[in-house]
Amino acid sequence: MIKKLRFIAHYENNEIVQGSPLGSKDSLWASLPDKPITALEYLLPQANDSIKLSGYEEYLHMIEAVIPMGRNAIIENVYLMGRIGDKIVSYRITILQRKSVNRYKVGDITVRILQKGKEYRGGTTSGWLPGLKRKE
Amino acid sequence: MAEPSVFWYYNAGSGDATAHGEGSAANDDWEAITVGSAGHSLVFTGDGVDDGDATGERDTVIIPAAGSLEVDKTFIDNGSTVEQVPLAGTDQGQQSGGDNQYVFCIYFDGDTASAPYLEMWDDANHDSIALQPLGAGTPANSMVKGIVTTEGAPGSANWVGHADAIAMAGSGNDNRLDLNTGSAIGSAGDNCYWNMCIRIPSTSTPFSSLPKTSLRFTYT
Repeated sequence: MIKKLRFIAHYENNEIVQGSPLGSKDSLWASLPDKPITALEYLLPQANDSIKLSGYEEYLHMIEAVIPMGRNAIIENVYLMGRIGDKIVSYRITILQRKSVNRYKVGDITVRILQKGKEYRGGTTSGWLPGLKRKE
Repeated sequence: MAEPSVFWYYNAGSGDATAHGEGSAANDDWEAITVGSAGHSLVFTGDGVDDGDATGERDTVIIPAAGSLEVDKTFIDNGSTVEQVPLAGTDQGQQSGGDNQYVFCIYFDGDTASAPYLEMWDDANHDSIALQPLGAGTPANSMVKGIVTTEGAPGSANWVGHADAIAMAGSGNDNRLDLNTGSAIGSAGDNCYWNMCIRIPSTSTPFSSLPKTSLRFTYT
């Protein structure tokens, strides 16, 4: 199932670029074309479901992992973020379902609106790419 | 930024002068904390265990009648022997703890998308802190004390009382180690350092626990 999960960056003229499946060493986010993104989509675990962000000035795709000492990395969440001005909308997609907490299941999305600079656990993030914000 | 490779090390020497070299190889007194099915584990135990003893060797610590007591010694159990981390902890332990900068190290071979954090949890599910040494649900009461030393030594041989010392439990801002002082790791990669110990209060009841020390980081 995890092999299906990946981002799709949309550009003008219906051009799209797909990222590598989640779990790959390189998602290819940093290798995307040097031009504004019109929308950022993510394929979800649920069949035929995806989430699609558009209309933002900047976009970020970010993977959150945890490594217990002496163990291998565990991917817990994927974040898609969009920035307009100093506001950031963060969409957290749950990847690892807790054994003891039923609050978040795999594929659940938690949306938060945050101040720029405090968008991830109270701190800043890097790796943002420019978006093409369409005029209203 | 692709997923950075992460390497864990401990300083097996008794000198605090040498930083871990840049790169993924162990060097000088720095030994690797190996990952995998036979991965190494961090052990805090009593004075009766010595460097090089067989794997699984442990000793008791007597709960103090008043105040608190630092667990005597710190080891990495590599599945064959227990190897001491002499510089771990403060001057209140029974090894060479104190105002030391180079004790534990994590090396990132590339950049992260946000600041990396070191957390303590009951287990690898990373969703509970019910164990007694982690404060039994109250992070501020955690017996696990840590301090980030990436930028320098703590400044005090008994650093548990230092303003930057943290009672480690869960992922709250006040109870995790901010390994790179709020900054993401740069594209050239970097070393992050910390020191830690366990202080048992007189109010404790007997326990033997296996909490997890975990690194949380992000990448694009």
